[in-house]
Amino acid sequence: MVGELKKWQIDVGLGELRVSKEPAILVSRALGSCVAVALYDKKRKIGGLAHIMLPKEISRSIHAPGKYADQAIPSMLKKMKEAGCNGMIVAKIAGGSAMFESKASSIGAIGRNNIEMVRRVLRQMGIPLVASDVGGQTARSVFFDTKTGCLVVRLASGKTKRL
Amino acid sequence: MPSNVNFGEFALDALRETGNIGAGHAATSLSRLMDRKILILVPHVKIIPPIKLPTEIIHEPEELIAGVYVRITGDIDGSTLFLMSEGSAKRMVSVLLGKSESTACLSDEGQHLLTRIGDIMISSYLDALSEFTGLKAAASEPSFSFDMGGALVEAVALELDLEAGFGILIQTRFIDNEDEIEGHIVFLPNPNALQTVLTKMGVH
Repeated sequence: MVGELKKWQIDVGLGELRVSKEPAILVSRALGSCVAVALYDKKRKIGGLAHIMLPKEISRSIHAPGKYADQAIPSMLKKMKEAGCNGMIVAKIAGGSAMFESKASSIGAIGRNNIEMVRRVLRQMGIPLVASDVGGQTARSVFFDTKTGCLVVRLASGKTKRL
Repeated sequence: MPSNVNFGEFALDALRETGNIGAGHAATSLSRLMDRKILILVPHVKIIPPIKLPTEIIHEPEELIAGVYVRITGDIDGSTLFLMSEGSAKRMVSVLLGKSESTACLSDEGQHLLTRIGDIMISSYLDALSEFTGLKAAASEPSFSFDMGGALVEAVALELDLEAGFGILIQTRFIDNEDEIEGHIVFLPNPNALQTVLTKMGVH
């Protein structure tokens, strides 16, 4: 799937979010502590992907709609509804790992905090989380197929997992 | 600080000089550790916003990178990374240990060696910075990762808020007989710490 549909790929970079009602592969590469949140309406075949960097805004910041979990998920849901979603929307998530661990710093906690906030926001918004591949210490790239709702997770080793 | 400050040649000279002194210390430690003569040069020093770091060091976010992370506390507060491309990391291990690394991953011995090298590079640089400025800095235990470069840099930049401040990028070149191997030291001071460092260096 990953190779053959390259022409349909849309990159979702750091802090970005994209919604597509056409068949497309939404791609976020090299997620470390970041979390990719994929929302999907199976009936309408509309999908969205957000490349979330931090749980919530704490200081002044550049405008990045997908950057913070507490803003990205509601704004993606709104975009999906504008695109015509009216039925059941489900979520799949991947990422949130600890690339480095250090007793002297909070670096290992960023991923965990991201996952926790994403789960909380999804719960608050009543969006069922149907699959996840989160935590650990490895980087991930994700490929979200808006035609099928399948989220493929690929590791640096080339190993893939379908969610 | 605005995002496009030109720190000027004087600041860069001071930082380059610190990088050279640090590299000299590191070469001495590394030569002793490996019982052979190793030279380390510092061809380039840059000050850039952290958000630009991934593209400055890494050609492609999924590219495999060996990284050593050290957290700095004290008068100089921030984070540092020592980064090597997959090719450089494996060449370094094979040159220093005299055996080649498999294509898939790094051996425990290789990881251990690279962690030591990263730790030496970072602590030598910090010592030089402390000598130069009179500021105190304590380094944490090093943490090693061999994975997608974009993920390594992002994790460290996020810890300190990606938008804030500036990162110092020090390109290093190890020379061992005819081999030349490249690595990068990335120093991400907390936004206020860089100003403190530059002020102590006599900039402004």
